[in-house]
Amino acid sequence: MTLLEVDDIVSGYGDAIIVDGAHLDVEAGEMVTVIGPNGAGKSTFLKTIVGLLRIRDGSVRFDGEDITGVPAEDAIDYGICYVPQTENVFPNLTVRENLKMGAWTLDDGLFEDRTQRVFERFPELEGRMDALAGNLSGGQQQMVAVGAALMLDPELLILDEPSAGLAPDLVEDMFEKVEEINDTGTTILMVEQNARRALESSDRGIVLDMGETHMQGTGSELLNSEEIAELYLGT
Amino acid sequence: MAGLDPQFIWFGIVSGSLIALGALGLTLIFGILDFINIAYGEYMALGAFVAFSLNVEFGLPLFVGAIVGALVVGPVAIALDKAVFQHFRNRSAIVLLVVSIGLSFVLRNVIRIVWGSGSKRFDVPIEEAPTYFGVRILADQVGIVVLSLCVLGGTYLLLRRTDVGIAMRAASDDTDLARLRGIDTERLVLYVWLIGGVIAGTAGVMLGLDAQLRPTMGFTALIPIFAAVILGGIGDPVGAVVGGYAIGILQEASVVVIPSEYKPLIGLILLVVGLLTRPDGLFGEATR
Repeated sequence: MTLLEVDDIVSGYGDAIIVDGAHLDVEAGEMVTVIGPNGAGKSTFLKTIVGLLRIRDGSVRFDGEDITGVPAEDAIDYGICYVPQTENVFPNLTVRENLKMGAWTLDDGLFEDRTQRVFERFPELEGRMDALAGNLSGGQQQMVAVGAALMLDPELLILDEPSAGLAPDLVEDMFEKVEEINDTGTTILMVEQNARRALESSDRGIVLDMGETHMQGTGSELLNSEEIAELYLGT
Repeated sequence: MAGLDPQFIWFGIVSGSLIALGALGLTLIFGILDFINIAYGEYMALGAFVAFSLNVEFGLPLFVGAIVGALVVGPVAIALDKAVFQHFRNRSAIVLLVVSIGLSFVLRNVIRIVWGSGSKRFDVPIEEAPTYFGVRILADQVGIVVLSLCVLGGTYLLLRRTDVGIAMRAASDDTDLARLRGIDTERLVLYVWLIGGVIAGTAGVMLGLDAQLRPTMGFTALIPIFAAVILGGIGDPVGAVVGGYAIGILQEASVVVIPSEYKPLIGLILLVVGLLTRPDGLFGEATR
């Protein structure tokens, strides 16, 4: 079943069109990675899907429903949670308060239960519940960001460069966590600079270039393509 | 220095309470809306004059006038947002600043038209101040300090303990992220105007109690309030309150070394020094 269908969307900032006709399908339960060079419009693509940026053309469907133009604060009602690349925690709020904000639309009764699940995924956070998120290490902040998004148990988790800014030994951890989350049935769409590693975990990948979908295929197809290797993966 | 007279410390705590309260409301509004509302001075004056009408013109006890005066500014602030600021929501902070200066002029003159430009007093008995431990302490002053502490404490609990309060702090940190969490930030804006307005009204009534009521009373009070907001780190409520008390006490203590008519200069000096040395506030960090 197709969970997310993005058709020929166009968006940008002011007069600058950044995403220009990109398309993408994500099947339920899949992990899909968007790769592409710097400035290809990957982050803008995600922001447009979740409604942070106005969509100028094209359409977005989720679970068969048209969600084109649905603003960001309503996207989570459909079961879509998005973790931005930077500024993805509230620095002056404690970890507990960050998780509470992640659970804003959730019944209060479910809060403790969901928090426990986040601890199971990220045990390091349990002892830091009352620390300000802004005082945590980069890796822990990333855990808070993903943890807050998991509070609603989303159907689709959208991650913008989850490994960005992490120390090399934490990058592998983060990819493993993302795989685990995917294994529990959460569909994942992510953008990654660390393209080779991301494609290894992914069912499928798409290459975004100049704001358009340039190519798509399974993770291994893209990894084995000479053109992709040369243009987008480095050597 | 020939030993600091505890009397000045007490005066400092009284002015500090007024400044802290004003600064709290102003900084809360800034936190969510990202602009400095110059008309905030007139919100304070409005609260004071409404209390004056009820107290003097209708002969009601001052505390009734004070409560109504403080509460009425909340809805007024929301109405002014709908009528004025909302139309400029996505414009730059400078545009909003200029709009608020315009609104400040208009409101000040509306107050002049309604209540006249002369100075007025609440109907409270003028009494001899009793002396405790060598410090003259007026009942009015005790009222100002206690009420301020109640409002400051109440606001602190609201921001720390309630979901709406935590959401306000969240939106103050990062509005986009707050929206991604499903928080209706436009509704939060209403709450912030309501709370910020009531705090302004309370501060105004107490300002009138401490001195006299004039249409310019709020505008004049803004300098030390700005200084407290800046010193505390703009948008940081705890910082604004600490800054408010610091400025109040320094201002009153300054009369030991400079003539008392130059007292307001302290706020201005601290504002400049604060901007030059600690642009992120006393507790400034790179997170903001």
